[in-house]
Amino acid sequence: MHHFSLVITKEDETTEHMISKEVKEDYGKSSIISTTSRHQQLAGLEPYNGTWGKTQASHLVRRTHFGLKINTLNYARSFNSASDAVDAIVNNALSNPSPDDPQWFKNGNSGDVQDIYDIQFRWMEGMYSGGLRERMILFWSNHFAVSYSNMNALPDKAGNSYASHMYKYWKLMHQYSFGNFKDFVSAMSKNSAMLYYLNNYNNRDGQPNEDFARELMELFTLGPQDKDGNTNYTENDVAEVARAVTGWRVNDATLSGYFDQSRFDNNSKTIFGVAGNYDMDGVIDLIISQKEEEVAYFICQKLYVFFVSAKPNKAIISELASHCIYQNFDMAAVLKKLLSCAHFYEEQFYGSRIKSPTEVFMSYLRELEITPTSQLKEYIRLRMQELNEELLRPESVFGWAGYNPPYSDGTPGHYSWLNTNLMPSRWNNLTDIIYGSDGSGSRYNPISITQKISDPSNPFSIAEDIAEHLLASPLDTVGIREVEEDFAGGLADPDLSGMPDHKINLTKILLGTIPWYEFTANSDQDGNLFYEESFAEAVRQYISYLQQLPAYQLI
Amino acid sequence: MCKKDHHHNPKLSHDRKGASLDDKEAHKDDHQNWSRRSFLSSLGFGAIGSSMLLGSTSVSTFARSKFFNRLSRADNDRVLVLIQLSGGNDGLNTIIPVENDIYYQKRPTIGIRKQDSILLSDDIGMHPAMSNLQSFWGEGNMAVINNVGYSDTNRSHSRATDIWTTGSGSNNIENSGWAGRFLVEDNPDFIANPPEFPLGVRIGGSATLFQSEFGNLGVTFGGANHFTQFLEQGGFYDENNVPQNDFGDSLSFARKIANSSFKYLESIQAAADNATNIGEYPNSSLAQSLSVVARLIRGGLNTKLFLVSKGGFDTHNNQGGPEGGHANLLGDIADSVNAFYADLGSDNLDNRALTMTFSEFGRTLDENSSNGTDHGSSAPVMVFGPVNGGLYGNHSDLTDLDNSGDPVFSTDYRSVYTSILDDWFGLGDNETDAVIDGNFQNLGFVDSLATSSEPSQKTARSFRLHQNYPNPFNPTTTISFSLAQAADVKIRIYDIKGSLVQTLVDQKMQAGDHNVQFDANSLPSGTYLYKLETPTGNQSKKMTLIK
Repeated sequence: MHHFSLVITKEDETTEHMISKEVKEDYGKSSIISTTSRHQQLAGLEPYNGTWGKTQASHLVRRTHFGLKINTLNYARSFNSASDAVDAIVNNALSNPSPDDPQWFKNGNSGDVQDIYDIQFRWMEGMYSGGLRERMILFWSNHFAVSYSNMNALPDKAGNSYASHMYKYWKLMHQYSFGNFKDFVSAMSKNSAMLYYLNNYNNRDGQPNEDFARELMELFTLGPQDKDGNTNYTENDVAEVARAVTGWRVNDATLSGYFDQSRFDNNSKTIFGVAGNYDMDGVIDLIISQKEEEVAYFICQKLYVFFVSAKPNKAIISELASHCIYQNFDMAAVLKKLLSCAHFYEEQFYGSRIKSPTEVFMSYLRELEITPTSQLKEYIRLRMQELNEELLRPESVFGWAGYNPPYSDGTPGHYSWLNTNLMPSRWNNLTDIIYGSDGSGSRYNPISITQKISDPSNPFSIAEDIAEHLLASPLDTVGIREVEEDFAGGLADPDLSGMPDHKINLTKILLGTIPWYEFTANSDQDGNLFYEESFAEAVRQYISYLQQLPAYQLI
Repeated sequence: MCKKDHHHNPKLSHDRKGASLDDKEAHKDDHQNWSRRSFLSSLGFGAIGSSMLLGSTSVSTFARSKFFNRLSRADNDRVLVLIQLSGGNDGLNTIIPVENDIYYQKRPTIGIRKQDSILLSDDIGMHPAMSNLQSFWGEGNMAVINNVGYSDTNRSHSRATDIWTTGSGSNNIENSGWAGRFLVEDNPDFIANPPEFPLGVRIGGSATLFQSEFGNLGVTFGGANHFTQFLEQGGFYDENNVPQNDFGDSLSFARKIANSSFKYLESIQAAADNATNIGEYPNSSLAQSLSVVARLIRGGLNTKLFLVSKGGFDTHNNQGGPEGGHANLLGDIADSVNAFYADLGSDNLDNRALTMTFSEFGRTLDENSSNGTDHGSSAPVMVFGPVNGGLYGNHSDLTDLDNSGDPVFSTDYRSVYTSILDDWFGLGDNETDAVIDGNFQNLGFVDSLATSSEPSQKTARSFRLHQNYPNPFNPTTTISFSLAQAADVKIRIYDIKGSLVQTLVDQKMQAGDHNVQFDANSLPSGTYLYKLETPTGNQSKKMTLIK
């Protein structure tokens, strides 16, 4: 039974609560389209206690993992409620052990870009087999943006050790992803890669370098303005903070930041109108204590955009910010709240986010259960560069626009992932992957996925099940082509009674010239199923069709 | 820094042998290998492409336009190329006050000595890395507008970029780009009759520039690999029939992109197939972007505005002086602009393109502790091509400083835009007001005498402007013109700097031939431009007064 959002109002009440109308119903799945103004009342942060079924669990898995792997879906559904599933998912991510250090890292400092790629590959592996933890690291690598290309570009930076510095930066995010945000800011500010990237390693008494100081406030904790448009800090504050964070340096041998008292500006600074001889931790404490609400709102807005919708909902974020303060900036607690609340499961958010390049590739692999080989990882690494998202190399100090709150003119950040060049590239790349042009040379064999999620001998089921598996939004909204031709094969007509149009069209698209009654999976002598080549090819082309629908860009 | 991995994907190599027409065989291969896909997909991050069929905008909004009857003007093949320097270019080390002691006091390590600079005047030098612009300067094809900024400078990258691209003041929030507003004024027809070509083309740089009240008017180049397949699939998606919620918005956007990926493709591919580049370009992404622009201009794409960009200017650390990081950045600009104009100049297209650099702010007067500079205030703007070459406005004397110790601006950046709108695109006062809010002076750096080639025979002319007689003259001369039908006619006279000298005619005139006397008794010798303006087009010619 599908969850309706239906509010009954008295006749003489002004209609602020909008009544949703059911527009279409098919096979137990309805798409509810609000026929009135979009300013409908959305559910809030209270726990979601509606139906916990395939639709809701799929949404949770898509948003917390990199795409819908069937085992993860089954796992999420095995719980009785959203809250229980969320608890389990967050706790699993929390308790995941840190990855083993690669041999090259243990061998000594590395300035080899191939080792950066090695970190990217390990991360991709983690994304494929893991989930929320890798996703949160991606979130933090966007928030505390550090790019490796800055470090190997300038000679007196870590030309010979930047790969090692980046590895430590990456590991730091494993450690703090779900912990206390304030501790994270402090640890990150002292991280060697961060010290290099924002030039704070060169910031000393008498000759302050404002780069890090500005970004500490503008990017990491406050943002230039609060939610009501008031300025959060002045240029003077920036200059004073710059003085307060003087004295930090990098020890390349130990790959760590350290404090050099002799370079520290040991005098009083006035920040936010409060005077004191602040140092790095002093400033961070000051920011979080003086501007607690602004910091909470700032970080919660980022989380909202990353997990819920590219368009921030001020009321919900404010409430989440209060919860964040109440939980003393514990990120795990904030996530649990956000991912298990009724607002998160509002239907309008299903498929409302545009996939980043990472999400496009990893979700494709997870959905089709294509294990990333070295060749495939290298292919993806190169294509991601072209699609403007290279891991550990954010496009600017802001991270990637695609993961961030809207531009100043209101344009949602995730629009930047798509344009008339990038979208066709995505189509090409995903087609390449299942056709072996990714360098693997072998074409994708769809038999095992059809066994896992459908009935491999029934083309109607396959057509619908694969489409539902790949697409985050209801099938009657994705814009499936109306196919006027009849089913191929003149021997018999299929029984289409009760079958929704989209299923009929999808099956026609899948089958093409194959008569529907001929399509089947065969058994070999050991009882294993396989497809003869023309059927396997039909499924591949069908997948290729689905991933080129605009709706496939959405998650 | 090059994003592409050449070693693994040779298709994306910037090392394009055969770019010059001299390498015949290689050139042919180059033309074929440099296929649509690789040509178009080598360009980086681009605009939010959007369909011109803006379903959410009702056609009735079009009725508000007072320029309904205006058809495209005769001299409408002028192009503006904007080069966005992202990060905040250090203007003080680009156009250098080489006689100012304060400059050297504040920049003990990164200051550039007079003898190392390329002198533009007695006390202004240009960074030595820009040697490829020397000929531009010498031939009068480069204008430098000094100390450009605005009051209450913002030093945040994103906000400052917004200010420059929206053409607003520091305390105003404007959502549309100045170029977007210009395109709306320049193309009042575009909703009812969407053009087949993109109004603006963006290859990197800020999306806001082309944002307008009707959506984003800039488009990026699109790859075309699945073009035919996509059409067979059934073509276009319905952008409007979507739920009114976040999901619907995202779905609609994704469909818009998919649709747009094919909407302008034909005009762009036709232009790209129609022309090649002439001459060598450097191996940088800026140069490659400009080479694309040149090719599209040559190939006949009707787009008037191009935006390209170069990043890396946020030189907080180890900026370098005559050599080093910043020098390399400036060198790339000079080399790329040089290659661009050399290309266009080969077949006399160079007078069609006006090129301007801009950056979100200059950098601090003082160098910082890392031998770099932090976010500052004003900086020079450089303009290339058909300009009245020279320095405009005064360089800061470095004594009038703001609260952060950086120079106070002397020329508002909106004057630069106004000058271009007035003199390059011939926008009338009313139209310019709709683009730039506030009164800003026309600086006169555009060479409005730079005429494009004679209008093609294809354009049906309802008027004709003749060469004055006698020419050269002193002090009177006769200007004749013919009208096919009665029309409101203006004839205006401008001096070499583009300043209006006299309005000779401003009235309705009947069909037929007309003569008008011009008496230049009180004017100095020199070249003047006379311009005939009618509702169906303009035409201008030059005349010479010799006393």
